[in-house]
Amino acid sequence: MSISRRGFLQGTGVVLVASLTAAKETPAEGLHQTLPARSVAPSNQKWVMVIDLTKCDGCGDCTRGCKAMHFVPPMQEWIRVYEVEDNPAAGPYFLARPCMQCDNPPCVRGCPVGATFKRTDGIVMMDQERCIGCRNCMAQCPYGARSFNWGEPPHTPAELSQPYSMEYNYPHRKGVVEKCIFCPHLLRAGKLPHRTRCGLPVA
Amino acid sequence: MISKREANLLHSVTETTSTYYLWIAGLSCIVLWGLYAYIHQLREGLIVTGMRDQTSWGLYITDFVFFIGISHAGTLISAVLRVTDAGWRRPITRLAEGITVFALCIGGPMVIIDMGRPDRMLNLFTHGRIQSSIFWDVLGVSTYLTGCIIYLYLPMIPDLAFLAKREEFGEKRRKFYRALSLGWTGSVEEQHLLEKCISILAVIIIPLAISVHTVVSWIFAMTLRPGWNSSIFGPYFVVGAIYSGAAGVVLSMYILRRVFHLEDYIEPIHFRNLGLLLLSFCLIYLYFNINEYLTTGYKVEGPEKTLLHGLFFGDFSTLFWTVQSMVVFVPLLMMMAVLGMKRLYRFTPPVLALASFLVVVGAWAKRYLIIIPSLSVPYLPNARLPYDWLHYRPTWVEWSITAAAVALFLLIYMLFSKLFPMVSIWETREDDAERQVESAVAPAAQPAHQRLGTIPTTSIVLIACMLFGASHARAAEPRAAKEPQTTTLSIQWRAEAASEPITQSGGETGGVALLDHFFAWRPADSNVRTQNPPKIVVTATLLDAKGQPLAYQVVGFKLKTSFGSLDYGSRPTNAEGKAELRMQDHRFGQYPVESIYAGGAQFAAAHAVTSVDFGPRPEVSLPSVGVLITPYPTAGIALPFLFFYGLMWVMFFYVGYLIIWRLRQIRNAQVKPTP
Ligand code: SF4
Ligand code: SF4
Repeated sequence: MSISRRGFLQGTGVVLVASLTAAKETPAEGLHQTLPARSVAPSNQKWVMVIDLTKCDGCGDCTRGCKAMHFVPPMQEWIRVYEVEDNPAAGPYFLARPCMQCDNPPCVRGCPVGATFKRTDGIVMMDQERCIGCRNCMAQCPYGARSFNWGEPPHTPAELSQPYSMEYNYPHRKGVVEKCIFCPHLLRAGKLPHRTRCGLPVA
Repeated sequence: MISKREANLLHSVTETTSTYYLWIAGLSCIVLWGLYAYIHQLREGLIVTGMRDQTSWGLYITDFVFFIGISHAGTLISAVLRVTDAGWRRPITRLAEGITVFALCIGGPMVIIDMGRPDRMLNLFTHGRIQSSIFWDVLGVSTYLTGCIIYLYLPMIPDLAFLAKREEFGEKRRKFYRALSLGWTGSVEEQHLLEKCISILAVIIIPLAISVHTVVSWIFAMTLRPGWNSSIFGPYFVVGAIYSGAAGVVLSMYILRRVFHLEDYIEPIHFRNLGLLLLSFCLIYLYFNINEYLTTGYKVEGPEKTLLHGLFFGDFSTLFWTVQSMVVFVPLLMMMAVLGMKRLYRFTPPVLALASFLVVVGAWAKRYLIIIPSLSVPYLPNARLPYDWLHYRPTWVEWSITAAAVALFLLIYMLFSKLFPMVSIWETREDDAERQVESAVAPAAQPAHQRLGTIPTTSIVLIACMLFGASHARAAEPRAAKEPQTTTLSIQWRAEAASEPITQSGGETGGVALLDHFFAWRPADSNVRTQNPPKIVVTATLLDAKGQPLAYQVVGFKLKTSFGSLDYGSRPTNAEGKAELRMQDHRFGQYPVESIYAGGAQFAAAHAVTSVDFGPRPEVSLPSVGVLITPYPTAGIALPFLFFYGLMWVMFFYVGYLIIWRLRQIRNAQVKPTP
């Protein structure tokens, strides 16, 4: 059994040393000039996404679009299509559930380190470089909109080709929480979130 | 020079049997195995546990809550007994305080084991948010641990000085004791000082202990989950904690008494008194359980219904009923029997120990039942994930680490019992003196203990009733089958002038806004609006074939948007056949508004559409202030915590000052006059 240097360091519980090692792994400063690390909104808008459930046929294109855009690890769905039945007489319907970007987000309230926070334009952001993986936000979120990287997520060259940015949340890391973030990098470029390209009208 | 009792106590420290080494070896193996499991988990990530996105907390958090609960025993019991000056407490305070400190040492780190990124732990200090329930725990548990260590240490000082003088120990070990005893000589001033420090701590540690378990419960109660979202959680957890902790004390009393032959110190009276305490907490716990389940069971609805069903009859029912009987029913009967029936008195210690064992094990399982079922019933149940993502089942890694935690607790406790006497020597010496006085005065006087004649039997309320009633009201049949008369519907709209412009933003004002600022720092509204949207009045007129207005008919209104139509509900027509819809929406541009008359047996259906102009796009306004929910502390949350725990730390430093600085001063004052 071989124990890697990293595993050994963590295993011996030398938290300080280990955190310094981890700090070295974070990407270079350069990126932060283009996309500010804890950005406030680049505009004075407030974003709202409206999904017309009467038109949703549960095809799952939104989930696939989001997965392709963000290289979402398997078993995670940042936008998930549920089949819900509120009233047995009326029959079930499809409910596409991204992160709701709550106005008074419980997840933000509960985070001990401010790794998840709300921007002025209403987007609830997620900083995978600060998250300590306590999963309080997952317990807090009433919609189950958050997922956790339980193991090392599988990487693809395309995913690794970009430096990490909070605005698109990849490359993915082990032991942190991820969620739908309204594609702030696309908004910055003046485009709508990727999953809205499912062919159905989304206002 | 030392009495037989003291010599006996010393034996527990000086003599080591082979069984002891065997235990140490066995426990160490378990701990090492757990360490291996943890290293495995660090390398692979939490994927090696049974936790998944739906059940995102598991055994580790269970262990955390359990150990923090056990830790309440000690300090709380010994502090309460000290404050109320119960003489019988003396032999048991140290072993109780020991449980507290070690349980905290094990329980606290369970959270770190549960963390996905333990390497980033320092973020808690560099980026900590006092608004977060996790942060409260870090604050509470660390303060409590510090307090408990001091509280365990202070009453040990005289014993340490005593041990430092014993010839039985090697030079090194005596040096160690001497260093820890801070040069204690046992003069009257020193004793006064020590008594003072101990009483200060005993007083502040009671609210501290209560606060810590309340804060632990708040991790759960501050969420919106079914079963957790409950204001009873604080006291419920505190009572559960003291109950399981008291059981832990009884259990360890029994074991230490057997192992070290402490029958002279830990007597049946101690079991009796603690047994009464345990019994009362058992009843209070029963009360809280009923309270907790009856209030949710009464209005059985929504996710709570699923939760209760799972607990009472579903997936968790076997565990649930087993645990309820282990924690409440069986110990209750056992305790009532030995404490209440004269004939069974002599079985008190073993039976109480057995009951306590059930309670301790049951308490752990109860924590599991608080955490897992609630996570298993999310508001949006997802059926498409694989079975083991939806149903939590702990893996060998989690079991190993849990076993290692228990083993480590026992191990530390055993090592501690070899290093320090588990029964306070100097305090029981006082006890002795008192007893001699007592027996001189009244030879027949027994230590006071009340007998429980009849134990009030509490009636147990079972929640069993779920009533389903659904009656279908049948719509009245149409009476005549005549051709319905044709109707015409026309629609107009006009805009009313906007009311006076709002000076500042919309959103809450006055007291409500104050509340917002008190608990969550939020600007009232980030987009400052200067103008109210105009009021739009849409009027639909309903006429029959002859052009007469139709009164008391229902007309519905709909607004068409690019993504579907918004239903504004329906309005009745008045005597002139007019139905009016008033809108004050934050919209701009043209929208078609449709009015619909559904018709009936007498009149035919009709509908009409008009295009309503909601006015031009308002000026884009700038957000007033930065981030909406901030990492900044707010008064309502930060002040209570900072004040409370800050006070505790101030008191710790004061006690530290007394015991280190003042003690030295007193000694110097004593030493100087002698030469
Ligand atoms: S898991 Fe990460 S984002 Fe979630 S509460 Fe903990 S630190 Fe914050
Ligand atoms: S993660 Fe959940 S709680 Fe947080 S903003 Fe999104 S939907 Fe709301």
